[in-house]
Amino acid sequence: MTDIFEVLRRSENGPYAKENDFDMKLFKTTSRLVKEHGIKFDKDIVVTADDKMADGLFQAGLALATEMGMLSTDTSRIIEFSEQELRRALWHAPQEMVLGQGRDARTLRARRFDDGHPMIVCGGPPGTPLPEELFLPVMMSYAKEPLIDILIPGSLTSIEGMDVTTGGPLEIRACRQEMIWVREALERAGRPGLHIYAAGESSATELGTLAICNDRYMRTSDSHMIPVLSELKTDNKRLSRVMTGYEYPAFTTSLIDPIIGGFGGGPEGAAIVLTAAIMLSTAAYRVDMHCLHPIHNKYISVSTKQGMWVDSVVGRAFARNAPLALLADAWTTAGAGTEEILYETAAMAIAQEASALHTDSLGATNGVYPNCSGLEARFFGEVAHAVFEQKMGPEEANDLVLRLFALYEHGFENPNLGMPFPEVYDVKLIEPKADWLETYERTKEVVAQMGVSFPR
Amino acid sequence: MEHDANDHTLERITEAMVALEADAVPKLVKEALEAGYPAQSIVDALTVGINTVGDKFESMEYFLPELITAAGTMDESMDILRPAFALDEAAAESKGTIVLAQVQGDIHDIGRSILAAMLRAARFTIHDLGHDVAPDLVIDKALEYDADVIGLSALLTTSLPHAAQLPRLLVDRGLEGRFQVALGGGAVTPDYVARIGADGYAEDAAAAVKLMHRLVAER
Repeated sequence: MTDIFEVLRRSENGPYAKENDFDMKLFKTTSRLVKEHGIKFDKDIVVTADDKMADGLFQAGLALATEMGMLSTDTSRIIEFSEQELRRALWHAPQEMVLGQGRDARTLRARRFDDGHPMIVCGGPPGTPLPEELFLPVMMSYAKEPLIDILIPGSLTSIEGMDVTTGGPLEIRACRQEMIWVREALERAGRPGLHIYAAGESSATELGTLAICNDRYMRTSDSHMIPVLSELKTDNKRLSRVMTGYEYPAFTTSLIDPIIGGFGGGPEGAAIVLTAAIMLSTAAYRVDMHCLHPIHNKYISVSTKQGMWVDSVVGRAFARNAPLALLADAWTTAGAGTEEILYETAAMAIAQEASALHTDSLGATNGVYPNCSGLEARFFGEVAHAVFEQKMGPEEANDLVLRLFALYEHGFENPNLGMPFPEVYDVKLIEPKADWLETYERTKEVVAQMGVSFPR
Repeated sequence: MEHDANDHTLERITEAMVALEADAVPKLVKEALEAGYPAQSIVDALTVGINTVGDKFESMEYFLPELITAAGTMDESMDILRPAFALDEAAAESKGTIVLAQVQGDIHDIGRSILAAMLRAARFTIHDLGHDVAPDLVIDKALEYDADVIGLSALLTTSLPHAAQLPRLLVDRGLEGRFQVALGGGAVTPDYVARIGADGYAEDAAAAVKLMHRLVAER
């Protein structure tokens, strides 16, 4: 196995590459692999059942990872891995881990099809800017939802009235405060041992991670996130997070955001890039799990057909060839208080469950506005569990996702951003207001009539 | 000079641009010049082609590398045409000078690369300063290039305060009103742009091109 020191050696001594040349080589290589392996996106098949294509994708990703490696943008050197090293890293990747503590602990598994285990549901407002006065009530709204298995914090944007800035000293304070408040939210919900996923969301640098490596903030039963830069790149800040995790034994997860329409090409190329990035980050970062987040170049949201397909085919590829703990982000265009966010939620929950994925939480309005709440996360969990209990196959799931898509696709051009948290929740009782609850119940009934069997 | 109706030189330039024939386009441009076509007519043919490339990018028929290739081909072609612009100044005219940067603390590049390529295609003069650029340096470069517009991109919420510094620095340096300031990127909202006193917001690259036309015109 390649350890962090060998990764650092390669980042200093690997082949030299200009970033632009690396990008263009990536496009050419990916375009070739799309053809060679017959990877094809079909707008009518969002949830794929195509095992042959999934296996081809796995091989294409392995070829891309081997041919490209990972570029360190600080040193302009390529961190290369042989196919054997990549395969070995996948072989050694964790297949089962206990996240959290005591009665609140959950087992996260590398999923296989029909393995008898439902997805782990992550809840919270990832990347969503939350001011000090909203942070605790918003996090409590998620902590109170029993179907949420692990909790991801939002981003605390101010401390003592001052804006938190990237790389500034307030990132340290913000991440510590974030953890204190998330823990308090969990304690007040009677779930003090729940796993805090991607701890340190208030910092975009290694400062935040370093600041919380202490049992008072991030416990070793929690996790922190190490991004792969788009596409197939890293830098010293990312590798510093790897080094931080080397001695502080909290769990780690990658964050991979291939751009659909970017240097990898269309959805087919983005799927290959995502597959390769999962392999490379398994080898270079030694992460325990992965966050999948394909980004549509125009609409951003994962709830596009292309975004859901990329997740679906990648989930199938790994479940069949090298199971890993893959958590897919579920970012929506719409915001809390709207029917649209619930339709987007249902579509992604179905697509992910039918593709052997876990969820990596629901980012309302693509994490731009604090228009989020625990209620849409509840709905995600309800749909995912119902689909699991129904043993819904990919064909049926695809049909349902397409019908749901028709109910929210208008929002890509004209987003219904919904309302901020205090307008959809009673901030003292931490309960949804009547209008939002009524919208949820009405939409749930529509989704039930479409074929999702919720427990009565 | 009159040209035969069967002479499809200009159409061929457009087709080659749309087909991303990066080597063929400059050759065709040279041939058209030598055949006596006015520079403006050649620029128009190139523009039709690159606008089609932009449309194909929007509809996901083409992708970012293809957009960048087309923008580079456009630049190369304009360099060939430049000597002829002495006779045809309208064709040579840049639509405006824009300094682009990813705000301090933000290392994302791809969205800004898309915008730079689309603005070049729309015949703006672009100086892309890259990522993680301090606001004071952005202003220095805008002065150096005599920019019309400063365009900032921010994908990280925690990098936004650096963007907010820029309008304040312009005031403190006695440069208020010297440049138009536009913001975009995943972390930016119209409310935020208004709050920090910037001049324009665009939700995506296509909207940003329209915004730049407006900001340059208003300057």
